[in-house]
Amino acid sequence: MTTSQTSPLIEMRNVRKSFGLFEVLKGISLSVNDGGVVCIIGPSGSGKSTILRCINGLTPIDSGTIRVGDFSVESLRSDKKLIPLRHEVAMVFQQYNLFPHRTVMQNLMMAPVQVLRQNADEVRDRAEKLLAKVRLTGKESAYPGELSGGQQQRVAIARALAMEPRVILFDEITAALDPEMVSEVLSVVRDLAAEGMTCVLVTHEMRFAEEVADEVFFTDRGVIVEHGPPSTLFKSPSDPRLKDFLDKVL
Amino acid sequence: MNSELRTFLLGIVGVPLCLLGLFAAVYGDNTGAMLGLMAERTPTLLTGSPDITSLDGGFLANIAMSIIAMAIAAVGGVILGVGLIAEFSIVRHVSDVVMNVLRNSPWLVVLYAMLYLLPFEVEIFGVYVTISPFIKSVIGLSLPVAANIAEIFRGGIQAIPSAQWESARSLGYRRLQILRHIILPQALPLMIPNLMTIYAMLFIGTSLVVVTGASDILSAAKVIIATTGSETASGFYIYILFLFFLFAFPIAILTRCLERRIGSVSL
Amino acid sequence: MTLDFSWLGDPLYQQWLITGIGTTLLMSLLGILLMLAIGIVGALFLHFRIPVLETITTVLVELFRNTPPLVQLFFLYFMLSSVGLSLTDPVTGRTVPLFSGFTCAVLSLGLYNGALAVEIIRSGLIGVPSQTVEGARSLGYTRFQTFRHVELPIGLRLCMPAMTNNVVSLIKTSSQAALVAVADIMYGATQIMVETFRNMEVMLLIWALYVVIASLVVVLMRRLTSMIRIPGYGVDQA
Repeated sequence: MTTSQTSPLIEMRNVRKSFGLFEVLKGISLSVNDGGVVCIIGPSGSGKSTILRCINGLTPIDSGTIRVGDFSVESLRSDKKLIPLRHEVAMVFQQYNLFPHRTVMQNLMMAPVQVLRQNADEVRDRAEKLLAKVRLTGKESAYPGELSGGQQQRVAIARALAMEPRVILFDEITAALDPEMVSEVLSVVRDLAAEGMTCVLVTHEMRFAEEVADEVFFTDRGVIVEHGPPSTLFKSPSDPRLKDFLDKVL
Repeated sequence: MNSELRTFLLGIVGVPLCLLGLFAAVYGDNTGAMLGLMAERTPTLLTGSPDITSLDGGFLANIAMSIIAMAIAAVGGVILGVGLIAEFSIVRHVSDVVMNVLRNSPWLVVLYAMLYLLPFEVEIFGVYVTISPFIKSVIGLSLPVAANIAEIFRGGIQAIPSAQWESARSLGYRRLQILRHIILPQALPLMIPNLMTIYAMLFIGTSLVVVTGASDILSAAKVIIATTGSETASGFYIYILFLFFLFAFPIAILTRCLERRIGSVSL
Repeated sequence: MTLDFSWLGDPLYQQWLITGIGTTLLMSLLGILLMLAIGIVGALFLHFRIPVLETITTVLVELFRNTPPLVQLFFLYFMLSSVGLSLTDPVTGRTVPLFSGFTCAVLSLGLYNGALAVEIIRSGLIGVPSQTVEGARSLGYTRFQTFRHVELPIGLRLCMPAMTNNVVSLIKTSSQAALVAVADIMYGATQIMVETFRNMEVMLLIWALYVVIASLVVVLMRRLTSMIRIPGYGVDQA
């Protein structure tokens, strides 16, 4: 680890981003400690997902700085330069975004072999362990389309883990799932958090956020309105907008 | 700027420039003289006669054939298309075989076959009517096109949700009535882009009628080249490419505009 | 109207027809390979919006698909034969023209149907869900790697129905090669007609031959489509 205890693993400072005339992020600052679990909550359209997409460079920012470990993300402008960052920062999406034309095993192995140029046999060993971890042993040769939503999302988590990242970004990973599948996916995330994986979650599962998060950020209309440990944020919110939001969703 | 307009401008400027470049590359210093020769022969290429005394040959013949063949194919295609969605499975299967055979036939072979399959003349009510190469070409072209139209017809009908059939039936409509009053008015707009694509294909395909002896633009060009020498052939072919492009390209662009606005039938 | 197919018993005519079928199949196969190469490369230029190359591709695609392939073939044949490049056959020592009728026919089929293939493959690529592409990007795939490993494999599957039509169109179009003296099925037929005068019978036979070949290719392409179908993925409806 090159970062010391004092400096956080992820640090966003005054990040701004507009799509056309619409300013989605109006000066976001947040930090995530190594091994920390951070949840971002807020009404839809408040820029939560954009924050995640900026952190791994999928969306380039207009101004401000983003530091992840030793990388300053805003200066990485080409695909080639972004590869080492994406090695460290994995992402799991609402719609799973698996490769439909490849089997579960291939989905796990493709990027480590093709992007990181790792040895295929080693990657396969690792992938088998990861499938066991997300409780999908036996599904190696299934195609994503043959799995349930919950199973696909667990494959997506295993695919992210196969990159051996230092941090995983979860973008509303249970929002597209049928209710009965939510818990199987969340329990995988819970295990990861308990093992000390750094996690940033955008989520609507307030109970889950309260349970696993070290710190919760509440965003509304492109700014962070309030943040703090879940106990204070959920039990005694100070901002009226947060109160209003919690009243609606809890 | 929308993408169709951009493509149109690129094509309408770029393709003639591209052809002109080819022309200059082939003829070098003689480019000017060749251009003059082609300007001089333009009336023959367009109408089949050097002094525009008749209008039944050359490029105009290609255009005329494409329009008449499209009309015949539309009638034939709809009949065949109704067969494809008929209630009796025998009618359906026979129509399906006919459609597939015609669709998989090379146009050139069909045109050749028309030369020998169709008689030299027919007797209609005691009047002997000569079947000219022009008529043979039109019939030969309309056969495969009718198959394509039938397929589009079926695709368009199938694109309309079956609930429309059911609700009309519950109102007491009979099958053909439903087709005419309920389904076709909804399906026809969907078919228009596909029909336009087929027409453009048909128009381009009229270049093949040269094998029937009809006096189209290619046979006019052949006659000219026979007198001006084979070294002028490349130039005339570039010119013909240009003429076909001028006619077919705007249709293609219009089709794409419509397609984007109203969608099309996926076959 | 009586049909006389007795000429079919003549070994010479059988030989011409079989040679013709072989030539048509070989010409079509080479044309298909060229068509696919042109289609993929052209679609890549358009997809990545590569400056200059994108413009050139657009212009050439519109040129080839909005003009008659027969005239394209005539032009190629006359222009390239006047260039007069030739090769020396290493076996016989004879000089053969580099741009024979056969070469020109393959080139012309590849260019005309290739231009159609560019648009077909491009619309297949557009059909690839953006989420899948994003998944690849988030794993560190470069744009080109994403194209090669994710977009192209899925996009090609999505465009199989249209590509089947294009392959059949190419085989049908190949019959015009006879007009620049390529000894294909069509050419064999005209030779037999000259000798036997059984014009109608010969034309009917080769009409049937082409329909059979095209129908077999349709069956083959359908089988290929179902072989590469992605299990559980809605490719069929697309």
